[in-house]
Amino acid sequence: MTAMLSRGRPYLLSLVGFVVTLAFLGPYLVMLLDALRPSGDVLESPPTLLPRTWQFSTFGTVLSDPRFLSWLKTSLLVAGASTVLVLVVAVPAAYFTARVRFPGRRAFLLLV
Amino acid sequence: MVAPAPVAPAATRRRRRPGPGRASGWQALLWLGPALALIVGVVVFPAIALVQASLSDYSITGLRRGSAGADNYTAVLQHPSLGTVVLNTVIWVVGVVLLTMVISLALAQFMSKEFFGRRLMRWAIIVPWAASLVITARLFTLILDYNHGILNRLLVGLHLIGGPIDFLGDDRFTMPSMIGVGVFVSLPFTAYVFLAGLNAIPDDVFEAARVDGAGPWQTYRRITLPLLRPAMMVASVLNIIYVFNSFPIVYTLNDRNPGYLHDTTITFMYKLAFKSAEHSVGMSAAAGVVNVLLIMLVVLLYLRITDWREATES
Repeated sequence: MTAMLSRGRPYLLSLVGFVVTLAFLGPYLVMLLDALRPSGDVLESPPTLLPRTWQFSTFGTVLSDPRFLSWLKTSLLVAGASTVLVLVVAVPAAYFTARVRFPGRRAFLLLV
Repeated sequence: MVAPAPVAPAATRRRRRPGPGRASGWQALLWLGPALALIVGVVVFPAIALVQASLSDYSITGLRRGSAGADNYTAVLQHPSLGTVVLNTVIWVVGVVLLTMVISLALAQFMSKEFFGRRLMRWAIIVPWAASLVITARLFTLILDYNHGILNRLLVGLHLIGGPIDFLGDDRFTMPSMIGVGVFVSLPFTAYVFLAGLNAIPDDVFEAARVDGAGPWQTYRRITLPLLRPAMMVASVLNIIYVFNSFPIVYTLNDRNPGYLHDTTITFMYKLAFKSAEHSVGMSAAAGVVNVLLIMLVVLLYLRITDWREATES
């Protein structure tokens, strides 16, 4: 009995792992499938998991939309600029606070 | 800006290296100046502006008309929906954080096992964290919908429920649905913090426990959980703050319901300024100040309580 259990254990673990994977990816799979159908199909009742009619042109439409491209540019600009700014500002401060004692050091750490 | 507290027990506080450099205030200002300017610009200045706004009287269009004294605060504190909103906030924060912690403990334990498909599972678990909260929340309004939601179809198909449930419209299900989604997006971060905590426990401790004849449950309760304590402290405090401040899930899932029946203090604050009959920026700012004080109080109390337990245990 125990031998059987321990032989089945890797399969059981993998099975549970697969279920967990599906639980976390499931909603996003639904999103992907919703992206591959016309919008009327998304809101139709009763719902179906697979699209009634497949529509692959959606991605092309979005990617070639000039508004989307400008939003994408804004996102990248904001993300990139804030990352660079924070690094430029934080690295000297971190280096200095870690290596040197100075008046107000404790107050600075508290503020951060 | 707020760095997470280091996951190190206080006992191992690093000794100062011999002869640290010393510097004058001016030199320090040179190195810290940019950081200080940024902090003042993005934290201190808005905080002052918030307090100022909370003491001002605004027209519906947002024009400042003058000082309002404490009127905004009394208006918020006497708002008829405040009781419901505060109760919702407590249920929301306690529900999401508790469920997240318990499920993450199991999840992290499972993630540390070796099996085929573990890599894929670890990747999958990161996805809800990487995806924007608004996207996830909007996605769940589609999945949970009464008419065209796939979840109802699935549950009815499996004969788990008799008929479709209005997850987002029925008052009995709205809060549980929001908590469910809240837990879903909080799990990745928490599970990974716990996984790191588990990996930090040296193997010889478990070996010693096995040699001493401890069973699996005993080992878990007496060895794993106490050693996981620092990770649990960090995860719970950060989760309390995140979940309390979480806007997208509560707002998006509750979008179609009128009134404040399922709002937390954060969405309440937003609605006061932009969606309510009041349309009052001042009241909203006052609610914002109350929010900040509230979360600070909660975190301080939490730290006090848990420290106190630690002190009585040892």
